[in-house]
Amino acid sequence: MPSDGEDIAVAQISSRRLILRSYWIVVLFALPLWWSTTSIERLSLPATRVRSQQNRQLRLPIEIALDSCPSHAALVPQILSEFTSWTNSHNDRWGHLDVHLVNNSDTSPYLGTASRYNVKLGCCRSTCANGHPEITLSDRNMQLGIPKEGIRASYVVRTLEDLLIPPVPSVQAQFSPRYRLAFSLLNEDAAVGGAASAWAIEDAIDGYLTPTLTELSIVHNFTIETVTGPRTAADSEWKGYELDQDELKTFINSAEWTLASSVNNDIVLHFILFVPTHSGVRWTRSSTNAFIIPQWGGVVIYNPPDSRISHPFAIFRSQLHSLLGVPSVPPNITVKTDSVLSAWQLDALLRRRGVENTKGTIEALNSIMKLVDRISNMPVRADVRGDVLGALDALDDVHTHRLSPASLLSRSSEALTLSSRAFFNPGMLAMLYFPVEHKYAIRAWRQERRKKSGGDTKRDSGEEVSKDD
Amino acid sequence: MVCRAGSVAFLIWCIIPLATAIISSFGGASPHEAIESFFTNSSSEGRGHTNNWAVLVCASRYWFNYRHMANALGMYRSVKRLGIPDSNIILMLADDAACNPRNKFPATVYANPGRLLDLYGENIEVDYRGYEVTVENFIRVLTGRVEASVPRSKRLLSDERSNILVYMTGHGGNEFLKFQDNEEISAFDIADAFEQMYHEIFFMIDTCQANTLYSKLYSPNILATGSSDLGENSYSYENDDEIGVSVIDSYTHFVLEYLEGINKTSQATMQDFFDLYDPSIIKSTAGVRSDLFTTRSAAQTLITDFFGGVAQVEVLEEEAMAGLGVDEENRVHTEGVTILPDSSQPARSPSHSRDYRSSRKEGLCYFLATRSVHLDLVHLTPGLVVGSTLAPSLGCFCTTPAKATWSWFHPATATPFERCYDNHLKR
Repeated sequence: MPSDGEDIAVAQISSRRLILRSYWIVVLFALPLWWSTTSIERLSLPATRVRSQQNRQLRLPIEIALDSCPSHAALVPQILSEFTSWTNSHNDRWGHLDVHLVNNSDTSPYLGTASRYNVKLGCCRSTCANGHPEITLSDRNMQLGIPKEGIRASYVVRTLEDLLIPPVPSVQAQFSPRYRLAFSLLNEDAAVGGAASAWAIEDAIDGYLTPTLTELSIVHNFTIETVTGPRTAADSEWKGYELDQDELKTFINSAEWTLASSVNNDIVLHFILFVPTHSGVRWTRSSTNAFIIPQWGGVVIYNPPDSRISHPFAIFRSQLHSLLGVPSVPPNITVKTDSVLSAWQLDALLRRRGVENTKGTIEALNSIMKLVDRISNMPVRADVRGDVLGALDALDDVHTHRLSPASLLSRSSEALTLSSRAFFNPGMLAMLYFPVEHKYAIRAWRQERRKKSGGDTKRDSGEEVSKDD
Repeated sequence: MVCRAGSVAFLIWCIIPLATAIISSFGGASPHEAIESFFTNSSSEGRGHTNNWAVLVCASRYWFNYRHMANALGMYRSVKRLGIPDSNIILMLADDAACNPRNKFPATVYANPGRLLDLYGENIEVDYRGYEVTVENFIRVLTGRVEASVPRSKRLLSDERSNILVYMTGHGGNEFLKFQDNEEISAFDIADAFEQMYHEIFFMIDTCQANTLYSKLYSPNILATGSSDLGENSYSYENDDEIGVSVIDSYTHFVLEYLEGINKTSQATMQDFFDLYDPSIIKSTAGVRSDLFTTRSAAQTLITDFFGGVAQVEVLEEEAMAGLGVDEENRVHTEGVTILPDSSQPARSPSHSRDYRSSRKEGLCYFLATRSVHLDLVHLTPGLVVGSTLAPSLGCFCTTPAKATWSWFHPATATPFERCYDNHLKR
């Protein structure tokens, strides 16, 4: 029992001081812990490397060897000079290609002989009618039969341009390393008799599509799914037998039809074979009775029995080519090849997709940098940084090494995948709530309110007030 | 001495980059721009959209906010009716009004006091429901930064040619919108969420002080509209006595009534819609923000560009197919599709074989259809198109190499195809 009040006071004071000091020591040690747990992880991204990508010029090497039969030997220098002047004046189209046009195919190749294009100018055979040259493609060779009247050098240059830089189909779908092709058989009204219930689709795919899909497998991976069944697809708004442009635009009554596969996030290209009812035919204003919906897929309207229109799967194949951006050969050129596509077309497709992917990668990387700069409380984690560095390495590869078109495509596709994975990384989300503007604005707003109306203290929370009519 | 030389050298070292920068800016296009212009010629600027998406959000929960869920479901129904498929609609409902224990009419949601139209129906797909409707999920959907495990139906898979309709309803205030009664999204967060994977966005909000919610947008090609101005409330439209709560909001009721008059092929423009805004009907001042919508004006934009699922189609011609490796042997083909034999229909005779587009040797017969007063003339011969004339009836124009004949038939008297064919080609 303490009898001396002073002893107790001293003991209490010292223990009190100890307690207070220990509180402050804990707060002091906790400060770094608090700082580290509330700071946003923002690793540094290689900004200068990303910026420098803007100024890099992509140069894809192409070598063309020109050869001619002796009677047209004078044409070769004309073609060479015309080609040089044309490519120089059209730098916007030819700028990304580094074309070596050499005179004789005997000279040692700049690239390998396998990837060199050979153009042989020869005299036209007797089959050359009405002054048009006869052009034949086989593998990477082009035989140009010159008619008696001769040809101009500019004609050869234009032909080469059409083959090396073909125009982009406007319906081309977005690039994806994997596509799902969904084939559906739809009846307009299965309740009425005559509906199609089955189709020999495996044979059709084997016969028409498998060769071209195998050839395009270096560009994309394809998965095919098919749906069939007596599903009804009647649209009461169709006015007549012929579908005009408006009706074609709203043809895919997708609200009622379930077409999209929801298995994964691949891009799906839909191909629909539409069978109208027995009593009414439907057709469009084209000779093929088919139309393409850009980036989405194609529709063929099958009015049986119609022997003059091509097999629907041949139409599907050409629609697939358009959707994938496969360049078409100009009409005056014949292709002699075992495969579906000539090497010229495939190379042009690989090059074009490679250049588009490179451009897409640079855009995605720039967007990442802009986003990170603009939103100050956005975290940048290690996986994002890793993907950005990987994309930059792949871009470096594309620019510095002389890649063949196939490896150009695979590296650029890798770069695009990595950069979009970095951009769409779920962690790249700004920390929400109380942005800086609101933090300060709330204080200013409150002060302003207090100044304006001293009496009304009710906070305006925007509650809706219902009114009876 | 050394100092002066050093300072001069330093100055030169500073000036050279500046000089080269100035010189290069006067020079030709940089290599990157060369590629840019090559692709810009065939890029999406100047071309329309090719697909439509809709993100419809009801952000408030509890039974007395029945009208917000009815708002979102009403928009969902209109948008589906105009052609946007479920796979392209993300519907977020923060609470379940249809299966609420207080709902006297279970499994239904009505938007008008007479309970005339059930919005819930049997064919709706709610992607985010209940507690999944959070600010974070909403922003994740808009920015595309969802977790890898999120299924396809819950993702906004838009691309550079998608038009997106974003509709939000709930309780809101000055630059914020309340989610689930415990958090809020600010106008800045919404502005940051609209990034780049779109062609055009139409942003529509129905809350109190809705116009403030689009005031902070900065991304290009966004058209925005809200139901009420700063300091104003948005009001509900009507109560239903049996259900016991308000069933629809004024502004959304106005919008849905307007959309009922629109069908898929309507040519009504957004400006027509905005011109109909009337504060006395809507009971608040609805506003429009179009300064970011620069590539075209609201008067050039159709309602169906945002609310409908209208696609731009391209027709493939046979001549075009020739360049893609299709050879002649594939032309004549009829097998591949099995037709169910149907005994109820009369056996078709060979003359009904519908060979209207027969080969050039036999002649070509084209069916002319009328739409009100215009006569649409199809290709007479491939590549040759004759202009249209005005004629109010159905007709058939048949041509053989020897002659061209023109016949008119009244649709009531004969089936045009068979008459044409019989009269002109079946000789």
